[in-house]
Amino acid sequence: MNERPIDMTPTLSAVSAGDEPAARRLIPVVYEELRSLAAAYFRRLPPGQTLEPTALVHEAFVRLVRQPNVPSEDRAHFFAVAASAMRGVLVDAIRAKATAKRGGGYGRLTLSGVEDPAAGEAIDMLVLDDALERLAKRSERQARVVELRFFAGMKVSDVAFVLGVSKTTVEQDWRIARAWLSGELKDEETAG
Amino acid sequence: MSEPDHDRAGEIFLSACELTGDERAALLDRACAGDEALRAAVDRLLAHDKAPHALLRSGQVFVLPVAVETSGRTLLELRLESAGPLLPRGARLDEFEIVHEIGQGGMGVVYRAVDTELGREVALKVLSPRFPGSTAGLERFQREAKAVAALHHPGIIEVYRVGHAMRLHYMAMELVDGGTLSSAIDDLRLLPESEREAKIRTAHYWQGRARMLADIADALEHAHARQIIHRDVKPSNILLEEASGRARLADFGLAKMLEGDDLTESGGQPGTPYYMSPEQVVRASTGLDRRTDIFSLGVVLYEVLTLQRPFDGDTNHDVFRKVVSLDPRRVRTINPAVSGDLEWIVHTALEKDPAHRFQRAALLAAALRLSAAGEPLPFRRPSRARRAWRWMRRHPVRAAFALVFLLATTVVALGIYGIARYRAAMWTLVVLEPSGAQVYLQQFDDPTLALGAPRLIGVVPVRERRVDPGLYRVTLTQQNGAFAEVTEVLEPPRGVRVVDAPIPSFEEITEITEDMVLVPAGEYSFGWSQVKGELLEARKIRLDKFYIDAAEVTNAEYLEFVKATGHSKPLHWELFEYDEDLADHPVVNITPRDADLYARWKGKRLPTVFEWECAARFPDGRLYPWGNGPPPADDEPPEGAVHVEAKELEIRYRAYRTGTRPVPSRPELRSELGLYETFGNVKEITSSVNFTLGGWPRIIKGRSWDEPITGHIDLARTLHTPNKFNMRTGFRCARSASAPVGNPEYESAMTLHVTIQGTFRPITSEFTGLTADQFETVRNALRCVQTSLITPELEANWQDLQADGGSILGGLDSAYDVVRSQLTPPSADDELVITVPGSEEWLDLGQQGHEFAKPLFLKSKQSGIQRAWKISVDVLGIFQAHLFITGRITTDEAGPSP
Repeated sequence: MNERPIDMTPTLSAVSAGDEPAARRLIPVVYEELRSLAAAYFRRLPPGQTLEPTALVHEAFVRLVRQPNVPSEDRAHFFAVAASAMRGVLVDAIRAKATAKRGGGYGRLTLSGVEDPAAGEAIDMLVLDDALERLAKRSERQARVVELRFFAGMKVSDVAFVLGVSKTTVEQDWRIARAWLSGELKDEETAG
Repeated sequence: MSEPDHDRAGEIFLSACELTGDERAALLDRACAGDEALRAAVDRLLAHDKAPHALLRSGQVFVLPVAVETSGRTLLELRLESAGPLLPRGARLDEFEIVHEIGQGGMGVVYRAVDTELGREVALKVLSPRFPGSTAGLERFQREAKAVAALHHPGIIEVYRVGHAMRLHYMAMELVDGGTLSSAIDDLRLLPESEREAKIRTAHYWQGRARMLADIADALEHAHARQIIHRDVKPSNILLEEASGRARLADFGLAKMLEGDDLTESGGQPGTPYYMSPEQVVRASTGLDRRTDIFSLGVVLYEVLTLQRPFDGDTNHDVFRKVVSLDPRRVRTINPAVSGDLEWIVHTALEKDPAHRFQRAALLAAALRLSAAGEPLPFRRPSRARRAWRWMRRHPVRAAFALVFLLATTVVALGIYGIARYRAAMWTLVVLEPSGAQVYLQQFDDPTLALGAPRLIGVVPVRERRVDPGLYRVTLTQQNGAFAEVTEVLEPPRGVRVVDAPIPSFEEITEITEDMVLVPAGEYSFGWSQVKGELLEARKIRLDKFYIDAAEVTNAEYLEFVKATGHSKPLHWELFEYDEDLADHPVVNITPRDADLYARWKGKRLPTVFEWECAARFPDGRLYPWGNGPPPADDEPPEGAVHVEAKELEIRYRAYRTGTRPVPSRPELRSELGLYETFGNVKEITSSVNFTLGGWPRIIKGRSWDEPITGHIDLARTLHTPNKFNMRTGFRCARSASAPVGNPEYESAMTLHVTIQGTFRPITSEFTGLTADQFETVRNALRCVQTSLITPELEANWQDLQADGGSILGGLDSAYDVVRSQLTPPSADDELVITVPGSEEWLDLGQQGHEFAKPLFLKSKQSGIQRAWKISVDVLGIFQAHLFITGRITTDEAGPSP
C-alpha cells in the first residue's frame, strides 16, 4: 500500500479520447487506490471522526494523476470513474465489516447530509446502494447522475460533460431521481 | 398492479412541477389518462419533491460524511451533538465578536474573535449548549475555570476569561497562530515512506521533538503544582506557535470541568481514547492524579517519534483494551534513530502502573532534555539490574532471598529519584524472567484448599503486582506451551516475593518427568473419616492431570541440589557428615521452604494435599495404598523406633539410619499408580497449608517408619510450621501435566463449535511408535495457539485454491489428506501430530512436518457447513501448523446464519 501509485495521466487521456477499454482498465486501479486510502483513513481516524467520500476521491486524484495541469475533461473522466469505484469501496467495506463482526454489534457505515444537520437522519449506506440499484433498472442515467454527484461531488456541468448530455437534462434527471429516491429511502425508514 | 413506466412518470412529473393548483391537476388528469398506477407514481414523486430526504436536500456539491456507528448512535451524530452552535461572523458574546471558525473539538467550536474592549484578537472556545448539564456541573465548571485562568506559564495557552452569554459558556484564550502537533504528525504521515523515514530517522528530529515536549512537561509541572490536572493531553491540544516554534498546551482542565456531563456519561468519551491512561480507562474520572498526564504525554512522545500510536484499534473498546493490557512495541523497533535513553523515557512514561512512571512532570522534562543533549540519565541503571540478574541466575536460592533485599534497596534508590514509589499495601509479586512469558495466578481457597481459576496477571517482566495474602500457584507459560509453576505462600500481612522459576524446555520436561507417575484428571474423593471401611464423609475434588514422583527424594538427589545451589545442608549431614550408605534413603530434616526450593530447582513443585492423597489412594479412594486389606505384619515400627522422640539427635539419627529403607523399596506395597512408600519410610511435606492456624503450617501427609499404624492413610496427616524439620519428614515432588490456561481465543472459539464434520483419526501411543511417556510428552507439547473463524478474505483465497484444482470438500479426513499433501517433510524422522483442540482425539500427520506452506479453507454450502475455523497448532515449540476445520453451530449461539 505504501508503494508509489502509478501515474495514470496517460491512461486518463486515452479514456478522455473515448478509449473504452482504457476506461475499464482504469476502474480497478482507481478502485484499489480508493480502497487503500479508505482503509488507511478508517485505521487512522479516531472513531469519532468521519470520512468524506468526496475528499477521498480528490485525494485519489492527486495521488494517481500527478500531472499539475490536467485538462478539465480528463479530470471529469477521472471523477466519473472514481464515483462508481467509491460507491463500491464503501459498500464492500460495510459488507466486510458486517461479515467479519457478525454476531456482535458491528460498525455500520451510514451516510448523512451535513447541509442540514438538524434533519440529519443517517441513512444506511446499504439502503442507499440498494435504492440506487433499483433506480438504475428504471433509468440508468438517473442513477448515474446521483452516483456522480454523491460519490465524487461532481458539478452539474461536469456530470453533463461526462454523460454527454445537456446541463438541463442532468438537472431534470437529478430532480426526478431525487424525488424517487426520497420516496424509497423514506419508505425504508418507516419500514425498518 | 403493473409497474408504471418510470420515464413517463418522470416526464409528467417534470411538466407538473412547472405548474400549480388547477393547472397541475388538469395536466395530471390529462397525461395519466386514467392510468392509476402512473398517476400514483407521479403523485409520489411530486410529494417527495416538495420534501426530499435530508440527504438529498442540497445545493451544488454534496459532502457525505461516512460515520462508523458505535453504541447505537453514529459518531457523526455524536460529533454534531457535541459540537457547539454555529455562530456567524459578527455575532457577539459579551465583548467578543466572532470573526470566523478555527476548528471544532469534542466539546465545542473554537472561533477567532476580537475582544472589542481591548482590541486584541482571541481564540474563543464556545462550548456546546449541552455543557455544563447541571447546576453542580456549572459550579464545577466555574471553579475549575477560575483555577485554570490563574495559570500563567509560557507553555500554557492563557485563558483570559471564562463567561457565559446567550446561555452559552465560553472561554476566551490567547490566540496562537500556527498549527497543532496533530496536524504536524499528519503531515509527516502523509509523506511517501522513504521521505518520511528520512525525516524522522534523524537525531535532529528526535532531539528537537524531545526538547519540544520537555516544554510541555514543564507546563504540566506548573499546573500540577497548582493541583490542576490536564486530563486530555493529546497532539491536537498542543499548539505549535508559528513565529517562535514553541509548543504550548491548550485546554487545561477542560475535561475535569465537564466531567459528569451527559456526553461523558453516555459512554462517549470527550475526545479521543488513544491518549487516555489505563487509570482513566479503568476508573474513568475518579482518583486520577498528575501521573495520568505523564502517561498521556508518553503516548504523544511515542507517536511523535514513531508516527504510530502505541495503542491503536478500530473501536474505542479495542483501544481501551490495549491501553490497559498491551505493552507497546519498543520505540526503537520502529524508529531506530531514537536513542536508548529516550526510548526508556517513553516506555517509563507509558508504564501501566502509575507508580512506575515518572512521578513528576519535572522529572520527565529533565530526562527529555538530558536525552536530547546526549547526557546520561542519572536515574537509569540498566547495567546494575542486569548484573544482579546474572548473579541471581547463578545463585537461584540465595537470590530468592537476596533479591527481596536488592529490590527493596533499588526501590528506595529509585524512590529518591521519584521514578517509582514503593507501596507495600500487601504482597507484591515480581517476575523478571523469562521475558515475554505469561504469568497466571491461581489462588487456593481458604479454607477448602480448592484451586481457583487461573488469572492472567501479566507478561514478564511483571514488576509489581499486588496480591492479597494467600496461598498461590504461579504459572509462567511460554507461547509454545512450556511452563513452570511455583507454589507461593504469602502470609499476612505483606512482603515482596520474586517469582523465579526457569521454564524447562520440552526436552528437559521429558527428563524431569522420567521417574514420575502420571495421574489422570478426574474427580476424586477425599475424606478424613473413613473408619472401619465405611466412608463417613468425603469430599469430591476435581483434579487436572499431574505428575508425581514415584519415590521420595533421596539424600543423593538432595545433595546434587545443595552442590548446585549452595543451599544449606540438612541437619543430619551437618552433624554427622554426608553418608554414602544412606544415599538412596529418603532425605529428612527438610523444612517446607527447603522442599519448595528443591522442587523449583528440579522444575517441579510440591503436590497439594489432594494430589498426594489422590495418587496414594488411586483409583477408588482405598484405605491404604495397596488396597483395603490390612497392612503387612512387618509394617509395625521396628524395635527402638520409639527412641526417635529422644532428645539426643544422635539416637534419632541412628533410628533414621536403621528405620528408613532405600527407595524404591517394597514394590508390593506400591499404590495402584506405582508410588512407593506413601504409607511408610518418611512423612511427606505437601504444598497445602492450614489456614486456620497462625503462621499457616504446612500439611504433612503419610506415615513415618517409626509410627505405629493407628488409622488409614487419609488420617495420616500432621502439620509443620515453615521452618520446622525433623528426622522423620521428607517429601516428593509433583508437576502439572499442562499449563492451567489454554489460549483464550481458542477457548472462546471452542464454545461455539460443537459438531465437527467428518471424523478424527484417533491415534494412540502404539500408533506413533512412541513409548507411553514420550507420547504423553508430545501430547503436552502440542498446544493450540490460535483459532479463528475464517474471514471473507480467507474465503476468497480458498476459492482461488479450489480453482487451482484443490478440492477439499468434506470433513477432516479429506482435510487431513490435503494437510498431509501440503506439508514438506524436513526429514523423514520428523513427526507431526495435530490435535483438534477440545477433542480427545488426534489427527496423525505421519512422517511429515515443519512449515505449513499454504493455508487451507474448507467450506461447502451444499453440505450445510456453516462455519470454518482455522486452527494453529504449535508443535514442540518448533513450528506451527494450521488446520482448518468446519463445523456447524448447534449451541444457543446458533443465530440466523448467512
